[in-house]
Amino acid sequence: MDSTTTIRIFVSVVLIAGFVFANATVMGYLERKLAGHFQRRLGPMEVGWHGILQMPVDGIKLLAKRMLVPKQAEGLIFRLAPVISLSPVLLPLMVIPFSPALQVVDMKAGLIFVLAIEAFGTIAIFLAGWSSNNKYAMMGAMRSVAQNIAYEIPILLVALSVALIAGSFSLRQIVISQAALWFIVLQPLGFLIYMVAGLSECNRAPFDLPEAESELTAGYLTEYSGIAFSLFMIAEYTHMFIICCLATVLFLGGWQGPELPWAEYSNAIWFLIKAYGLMFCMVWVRWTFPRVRYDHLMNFAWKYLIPFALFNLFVTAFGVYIYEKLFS
Amino acid sequence: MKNYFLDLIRGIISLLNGLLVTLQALFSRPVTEQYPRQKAELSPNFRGCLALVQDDAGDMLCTACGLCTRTCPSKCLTVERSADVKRKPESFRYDISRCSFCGMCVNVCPVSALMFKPIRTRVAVKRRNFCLELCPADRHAGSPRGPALKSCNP
Repeated sequence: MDSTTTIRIFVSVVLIAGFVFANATVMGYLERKLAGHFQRRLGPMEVGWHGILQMPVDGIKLLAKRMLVPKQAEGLIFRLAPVISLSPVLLPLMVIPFSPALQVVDMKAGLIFVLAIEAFGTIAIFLAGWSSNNKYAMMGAMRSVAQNIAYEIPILLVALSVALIAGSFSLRQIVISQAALWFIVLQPLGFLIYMVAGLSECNRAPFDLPEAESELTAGYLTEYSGIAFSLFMIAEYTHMFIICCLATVLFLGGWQGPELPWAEYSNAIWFLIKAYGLMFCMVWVRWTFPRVRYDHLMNFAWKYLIPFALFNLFVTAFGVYIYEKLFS
Repeated sequence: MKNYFLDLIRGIISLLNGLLVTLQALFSRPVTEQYPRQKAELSPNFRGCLALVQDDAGDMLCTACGLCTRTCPSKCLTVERSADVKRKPESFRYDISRCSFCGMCVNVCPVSALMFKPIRTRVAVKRRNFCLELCPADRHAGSPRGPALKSCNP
């Protein structure tokens, strides 16, 4: 590895870390603002113009707060869990192609890599819940694990059908193969399944059972305060962003789109427009639907999503087989 | 098997309906009032604070019959008859800190002499300042409609 590559990777890690925090701040503000307007309220209005400084102020407040560690908690793991939840979310952003030029590394198995790292979040949640020595936290952690095991499967099956069409696991290759036709046209069912399972994967309402505040206080977050709590929140928003980025790459043609006035950046802008559009939909869904009951959540994964994802995979495989027989 | 797909379709339709409702809410005007800066119109039925009704000449309609004091469930009204003028109150005390704004006094009044004023806030630092004298000092015949509410000792 020569020095330019090292410098390149170093700079990109710093930039991605910056982006993760900026994304959490912006999404935190947008979420609160949109939540307000979805309920015909105004949302934050007092700090700065239309409450635009609310998130920085909240961040400072959380930074200044003491992080309480319960006496009976497993101290080391309790302190480590927020870090474990935040650090792996930087990695998937390294392989996501924001534009042809804006990708840190193009992995051959990028898709698998992203999904594998995504699953790390669950481990952090489980560690947090277990080490808190709190029944609510433990329940939240157990729910999170069960939920993520169930919802990981449809995501993988759908990702596999996309990879079948594209003929590659490299995210860059998947985007390039969508030049003529976005895969959402070929895989509408796949897109739907992916988005539903993705919502569950980043523990967002209506699948936010690990932190269901009406039943579990705050689930695995119950004992966390101060900066540790905000690290979990930042990780959650980044998970959301990664899920949306992956949806953009797999189904919405990634960076592709008509040229914008700033031709040099139009690819990246298109990518971000698509990703944040999906984020908006996630916020929309969150503030529309009530939380799913736990057994219904499991039923939904095993009785609906997985059979449909399997069906989707078989149809895709058959289609690809026929296509290759006819045109090659 | 048929029910399985029917349930799914019905579910999807109802979810889309829900999404449509919130989307409409997103694009309609928020109903929030930024209170200290914006003040909403109070409804004419708003029960803010009791007041005695005066006729156009400024005379009190109240006949000091005392029905309201007997009806009041929290006993927050005290009426004293005037010694010199017939069927007029000498004083009409109202302890707003005990009032539950049920409106029974207003309903029971035979001459409709009581009403609720649409007043939003009433602030005081002493408990006795919540006890109001509704009867103005120059209470009879031709008195100008001055501030009818001033505090008094219970």
